[in-house]
Amino acid sequence: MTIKLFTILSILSGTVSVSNSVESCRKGETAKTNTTGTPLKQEIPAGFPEPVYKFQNNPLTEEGFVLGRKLFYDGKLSKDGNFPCASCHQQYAAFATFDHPLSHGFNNQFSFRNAPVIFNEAWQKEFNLDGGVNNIEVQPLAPITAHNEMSETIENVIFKIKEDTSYAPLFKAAFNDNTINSQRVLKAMAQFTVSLVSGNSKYDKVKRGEASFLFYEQHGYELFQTHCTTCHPEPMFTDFSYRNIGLAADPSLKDYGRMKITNDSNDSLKFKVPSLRNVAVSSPYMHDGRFWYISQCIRHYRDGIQKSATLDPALINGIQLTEREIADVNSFLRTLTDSSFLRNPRYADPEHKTILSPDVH
Amino acid sequence: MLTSLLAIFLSFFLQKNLQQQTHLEIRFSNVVDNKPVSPDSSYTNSFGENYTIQRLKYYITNIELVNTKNHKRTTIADSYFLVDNSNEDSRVISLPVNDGSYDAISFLLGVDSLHNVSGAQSGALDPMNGMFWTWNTGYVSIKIEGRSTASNLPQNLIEYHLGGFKGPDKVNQRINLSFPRSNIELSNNKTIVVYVKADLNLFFNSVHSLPIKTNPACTSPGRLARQYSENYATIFSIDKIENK
Repeated sequence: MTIKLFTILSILSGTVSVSNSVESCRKGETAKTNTTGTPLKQEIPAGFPEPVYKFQNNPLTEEGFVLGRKLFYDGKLSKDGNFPCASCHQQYAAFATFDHPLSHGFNNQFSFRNAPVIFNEAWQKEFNLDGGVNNIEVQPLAPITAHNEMSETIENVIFKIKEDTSYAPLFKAAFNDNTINSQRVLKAMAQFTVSLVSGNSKYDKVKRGEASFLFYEQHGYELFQTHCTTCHPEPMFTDFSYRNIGLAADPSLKDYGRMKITNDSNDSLKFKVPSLRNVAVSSPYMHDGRFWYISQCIRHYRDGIQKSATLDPALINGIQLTEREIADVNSFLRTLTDSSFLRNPRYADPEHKTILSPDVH
Repeated sequence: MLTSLLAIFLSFFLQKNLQQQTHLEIRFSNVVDNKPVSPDSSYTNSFGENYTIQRLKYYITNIELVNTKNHKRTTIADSYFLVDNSNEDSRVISLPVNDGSYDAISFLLGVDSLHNVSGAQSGALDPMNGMFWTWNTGYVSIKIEGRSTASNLPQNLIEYHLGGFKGPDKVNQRINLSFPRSNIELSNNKTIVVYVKADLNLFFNSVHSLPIKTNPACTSPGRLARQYSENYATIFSIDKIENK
């Protein structure tokens, strides 16, 4: 009788299964973060596969996205306030760092690697050029705590966000109540970053029958399909694998890539294959930003491959293209620039609406 | 009016419900040769090396009650706890359990692989607790920090941050501890207290001999971390069991 009454009362008052939550403050909670607000639908461009991100554990909402965007552009996430995520991830550079081989960090330091672009993250299983981060939700913790990047502690970030009274209503709107904790900060940030979708370049329009390639672009596309799609397959233009493309390690950086994560010498000098979408605006290139021009990258595959035990088998003979062909592949790669993404005001700093963006296509 | 009345009823029944639950309490005491671990004490390991322990934290997760005779294992859902030697409350784990007859407890020292790939989490698994690697995602299973004259590191530091949940680098250890007497009946809304002792000297020398002089620090996944994990799997024992 007691149990029955208890159940009825629980249901009536909307509170179910509280009886075992004595220790809830110490429990690890995986999936439950009471999201509330206006549901958002993840954009999946035509021809894209299903995303790998588990949206059911972090349902997208307008309010979560707005909160995540504010955090992304907020200097409070860094030690001295000068290095928001957006300081190294600029929209007009497809969220890489425009014009910098290595990015600037706290106290006049440089980052260890070239900042990667941020878009189509919902399709990525692993993050960072060495794949060391296994879930986009915990990705921001790496730059936040890196001494040469944002140089902050997670505790202090949460403290500063709690101090800033403009945040409480945004947390309430996104998560039902004012609680501010690292889980909510990270889930909101993930809502913003997985929403950065780029799939509306000229290439996409051609695929949808809304545009057509110029002669050189078409020729470049055919060469690309012959020579480049082993590692950069359509439509993501990456196979998300880790490969050694024959770049000798920079003697000062001594960066051996994925080996640092796996402790496996077979992974020496391997880095994640980047997407080539928006490649024309994300110069400089390679994990250490050693090349300024797309043509230099393509020539590297012809003339510059350094042989080593872990060199990718696909590159043993290099990629033999003439200068004419390189120019055409270059023309094709420029059709992967997605201006509507680079200039989408929704992705911009809400407090500074101006977006500097190269005028392309 | 109706809502507040309901709330009063509800809290009454909730309280009743809580009181009526049988509980298992696990009390951890961290020692070196029966001397409690405290930042002000110093210890000597089996290699004759002096050391101190300034900070000691470890994850106790996936707790199970075991009946080895009928091979029944009862998993306690959502059991994730961070034991921090400096915080007395954290050394006591209290769990509502199902009535039954058990002769052992079992837990994971460290965090299971699923929770290492599940993104942002809260409570004991909040990355703010300082037991999370940001550059190579994963929870640290155990952190031991202190000093030793045997260490050649700056300030004679010793630092063991042991983690890794993949393949050969896996350091999560399932620890099974049999009750000293035979079966214990957990029933009638009673609380049984299991006193678990962790002897840190075994961390340096049990399955593997790992003197401080050779390895004053281990802070990344790999073979050495794995060896330490095989040692720390042996540090726990049950001191006694009491009815509360």
